[in-house]
Amino acid sequence: MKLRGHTVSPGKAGGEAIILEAPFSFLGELDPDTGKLASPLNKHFGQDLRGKVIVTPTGKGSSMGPVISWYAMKAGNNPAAIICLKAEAILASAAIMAGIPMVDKLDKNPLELIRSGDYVEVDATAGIVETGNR
Amino acid sequence: MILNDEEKKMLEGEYGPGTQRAMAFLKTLGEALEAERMVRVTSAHILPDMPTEYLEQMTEGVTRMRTMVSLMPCFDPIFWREKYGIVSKERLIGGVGLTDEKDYAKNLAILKNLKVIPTFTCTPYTVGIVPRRNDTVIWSGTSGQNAANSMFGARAPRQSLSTSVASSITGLAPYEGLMKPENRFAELLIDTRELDVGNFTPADFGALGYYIGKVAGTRNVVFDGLPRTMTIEQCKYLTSPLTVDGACTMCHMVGVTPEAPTLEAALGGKKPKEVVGVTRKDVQDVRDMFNTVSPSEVKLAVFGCPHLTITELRELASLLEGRRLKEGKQLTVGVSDMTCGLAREAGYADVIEKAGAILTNCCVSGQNPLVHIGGVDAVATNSARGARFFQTQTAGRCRTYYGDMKDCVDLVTVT
Repeated sequence: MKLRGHTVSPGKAGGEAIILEAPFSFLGELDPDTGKLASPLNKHFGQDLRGKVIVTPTGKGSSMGPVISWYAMKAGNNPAAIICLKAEAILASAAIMAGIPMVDKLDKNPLELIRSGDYVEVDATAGIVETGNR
Repeated sequence: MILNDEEKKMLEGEYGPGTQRAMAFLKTLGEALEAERMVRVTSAHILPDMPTEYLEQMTEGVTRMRTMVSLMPCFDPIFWREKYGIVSKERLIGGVGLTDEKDYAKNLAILKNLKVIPTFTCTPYTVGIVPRRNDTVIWSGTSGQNAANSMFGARAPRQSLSTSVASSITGLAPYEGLMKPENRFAELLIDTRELDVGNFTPADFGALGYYIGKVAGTRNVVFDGLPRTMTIEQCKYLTSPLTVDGACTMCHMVGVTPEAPTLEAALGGKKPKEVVGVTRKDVQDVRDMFNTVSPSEVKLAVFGCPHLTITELRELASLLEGRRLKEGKQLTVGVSDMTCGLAREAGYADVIEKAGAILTNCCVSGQNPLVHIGGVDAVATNSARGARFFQTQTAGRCRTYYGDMKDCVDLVTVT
C-alpha cells in the first residue's frame, strides 16, 4: 500500500513500524544510549525504537528534544524514520537536526492502516510511505 | 518558501558555513511547517549545554548574533562537583547535561565571544528580558514560550533548541504557528466553575495546568473564571506544566493575558471547539499521581522549576527563618544569578543558605544529577512540571512528593 504525504525531514529509510498512540517526545522517551523507550509511564516502556519507523500522532514536550536525537544519532540509536499525522516544530526539529526522515499529512490515516511490526519504507523526500503486507 | 536576497545570501554561504547551516535548517523547518517566509525575531533564548560539536558547526564563521540572545539554565559540571561532589564521565539519562567540564567551558567561551547575555535562567522575564505584546521571540524552554504568549502577549511559537540557535545566528525564524494572529485564538474553553480557583494554592494551579496540558495536546486553551489578580507566580505554576505531557503553548487567561480582555476576544468571536469541564477530582488525581513516595522517604526538596521569582525567595526565606535541614536531607533552589543577587541584598539568600539550602542558577529538575546519578530516589517539589520531569527522566526510579512550598520545607527541615 502506498500513502502520499508531505516532507518534514528529507531522506529515505525503512524498518519495522512501531505505533506510539500518544504524542512522542525525544526528551524523556528515548534513551539515546540504548535506543529504548525510556518513560515507564508510556505503555511501550523498554521497547527498542532503534531502527524502527515510529508512527505517532504528533510531538509533545520539551524544546530539548533535538539534543536527544543528536546524541542518539551519534550513538546510532535513533529510529529509522518518523510518520506522524501532523508535525509540530520540536519533533520536526529533532528529526531535521539528526537527519531522520519524517513525513506527515498522509492521504490516509497511518495510525489506522499501519500496525506495529509491519515493514514500512519511508521516502520522506518524495513524501511517500509504502507498507508491506499486513 | 520565499527567501529575500539577504536570506538567499545566508543560504548560499556568503556569511560563512555556520550561517549557511542555520539558514538551511530554518528553511527545511519552515517548509515542514508550511511557512511561506521568514520574519525577524526580537530575541532568542538558548541552552548553553548543547552538544559542543553542534554548537561549533553552527557558529563556524559567525562573528555576531543577529538578534539579542540570552541563556537558559544549564547543567554546570563545576557547580555539581564543587557543591555535591558529583563527577561523571557519562551523560545523564535522557542525554541532557554535559558532564565534561572542558566541553562546558568551550561552549561558554563560544557564546561569550558572540556576546550572548549570560542570564542562565528559564524565566528570562524575571531578569528584565520581558517581551512586549506582538514581539516575536524564539525561546528554548517551553515554559518560557508559554509565559511569553500567555502572560505577555508576545508571539512565541513552540520551537526547539535547534530553532533558537539558528534564529540567534540568522536573526530570523519561519513565520508560522503562534506568530500568526489567526493561530492564537483559543480552541478549548476550560470551565473551572466547579473549582474553587480563588483559593487555589500554587500546587493546585500546577496540577490543573498539567491536567489541561494533557487534554489540550497542541491546541490553544482559554481559562475562564480565574482571578483577574493572578500573580506572575500563579501564572507560572499554571502555565509551565501545559507543555510537559502536552504541547499547549498559548493559554489565554481571561482578564490576565493581554489579548484576552474577554472570553470572546480569546475565542476570536467564535464558539469553542470543545468545552472541558474540570472537577476537583481531576485536580486531586494529578496531585495523587505526583505523590508516589511517603513523606518520610524524601531526601531532597527542590524549588525552582521554573526558576523562582524574588517574591518566592522572600516567601522561602520566611519559611526557613530559624530552621535547618534535617540530617540526611537536602534542599536545592533554582534561581537566576540576578534574582539571587537581589535576594542577597535583601537578606533572603543568607537566611536560605543558613538553613542549609543551596542556591543555584542550574536547572534543578530535568537536569538535576542528584536524581540521575547522585543516588536520590525521592524528591519533594512544589512544581508539577518538575515532578513530572523527575518521574519521566529517571525512567521512574525517582519517586515524588508534590505539595506547596511550605509542605516541602516542613519535610526536610526542623526548627
